[in-house]
Amino acid sequence: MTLWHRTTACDIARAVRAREVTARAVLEGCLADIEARAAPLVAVTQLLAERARGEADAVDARIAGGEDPGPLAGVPYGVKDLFDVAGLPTTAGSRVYADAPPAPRDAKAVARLKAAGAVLVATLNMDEFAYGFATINAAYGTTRNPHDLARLAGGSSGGSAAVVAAGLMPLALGSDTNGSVRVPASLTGLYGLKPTHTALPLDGVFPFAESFDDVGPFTRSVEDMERVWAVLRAEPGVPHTAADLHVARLGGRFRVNATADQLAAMDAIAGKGPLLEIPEIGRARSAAFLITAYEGGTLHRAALAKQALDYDPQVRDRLIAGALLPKGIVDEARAFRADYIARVTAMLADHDVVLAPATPCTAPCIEDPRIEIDGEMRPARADLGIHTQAITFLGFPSLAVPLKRPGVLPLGLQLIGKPGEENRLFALARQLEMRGFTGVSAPAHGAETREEGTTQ
Amino acid sequence: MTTPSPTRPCGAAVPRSRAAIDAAAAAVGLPIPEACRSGVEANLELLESHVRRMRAEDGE
Repeated sequence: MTLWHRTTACDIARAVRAREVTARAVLEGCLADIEARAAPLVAVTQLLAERARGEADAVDARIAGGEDPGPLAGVPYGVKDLFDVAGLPTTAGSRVYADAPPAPRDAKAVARLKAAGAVLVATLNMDEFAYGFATINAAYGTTRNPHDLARLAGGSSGGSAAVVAAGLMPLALGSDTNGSVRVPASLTGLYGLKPTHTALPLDGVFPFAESFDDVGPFTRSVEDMERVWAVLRAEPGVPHTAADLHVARLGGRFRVNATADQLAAMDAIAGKGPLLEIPEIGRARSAAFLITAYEGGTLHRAALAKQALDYDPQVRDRLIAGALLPKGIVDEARAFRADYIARVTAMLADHDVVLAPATPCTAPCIEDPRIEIDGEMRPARADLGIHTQAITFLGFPSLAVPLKRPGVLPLGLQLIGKPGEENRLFALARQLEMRGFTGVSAPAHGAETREEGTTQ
Repeated sequence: MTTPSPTRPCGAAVPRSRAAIDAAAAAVGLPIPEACRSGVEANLELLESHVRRMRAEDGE
């Protein structure tokens, strides 16, 4: 018996469209697997079985009626808890909005997936208000990494990453402000996209920091990512690009805080491509940190004034501090950003794709959630995004790809491109998948992979 | 790209003393519960370190 929900989105859609399996049967397999295996992950915040059965039956009815069911026919998926889902309060992972009025309609990204035949199965855990790289949530729990339940899945879209990495569904949506898709994609071994800023629809997505917020999908193959990208863009497909791509590597702080496997992979992939040093990368990350703190704090200022003690304490104190930042400092950071983007754009003009680590290390332990940055132990919750936040600052698209390393904890690279050129990232990712550099490895025995090589 | 990017420091500073924090909080209508104070102070210290780095005052 085929466990269809554990295959890829493209395989499911093809089989459903060919009437080899019904969307309802795919869904029931998915729901049964969630029932059997999801609880230890602490990833699902709400199962939407009734809605999902209605959507799956509608897909089957369209097929029976001779209609085109769409390019994602019968594909089960989940969304981070900050997407509007019609009839549900949008909590953004917080008790503060648990009793909010229900959303009147689906977020635009959800509506586009529905129109393409996809079936929404669950809402998924996150850091409260997306403020963190760990998915440590005071209200809904800490999401566990399917490759080792004693480790973090990363965040803030950790629930979305965990369900896809565990094989519970082939697709999930997250959001990426400073790395909240790319970080968990790296730690759970998935493809995860931060698009060109605002390239995917943000309508109906609870905001965090508007200068950087974006919708981002998680998938287990490049083909799936391209399919979902086209659906979310409301475009017929991904335009093909030249096979001969100019690839470079980022040096400096990106190489200082990287593993030997990441360095070796980047050097092998880039070949004779140059090693580029983006100057002042630490200044850029700090400016991004300040803009994020200010925009997040300002967004929550009124609610904090009324009910600060209902917030997750760690998120609350970060938000209050951000709300107290003088606007002059943030104006300074924004001016620096404008100048910086122009300079880095000119520097990268001759390269189609630039490589960088996605995270500086594998998934940290939940018991001691710290990581080493520049030789110092730092909190994972704030600093796992050291390599993603600096790219966010530029507004460039970045695709996290998983290094092919079965039996050890996952780790990813970023493929960074120019604004509007996601198709070049997909083209390189396809090549890397075919050449065996990248690819998704299933968690051993569900969730028992240990550090560096000892799968038990 | 050898010339440092300009930042045009505005002279604004992150509030750090209790009086400065209370004044900043009052200015934006955000009372700070006592339970939050130590966490807010720690986060303001972190933000101040990022301001120093952004302004290249930390030697980078």
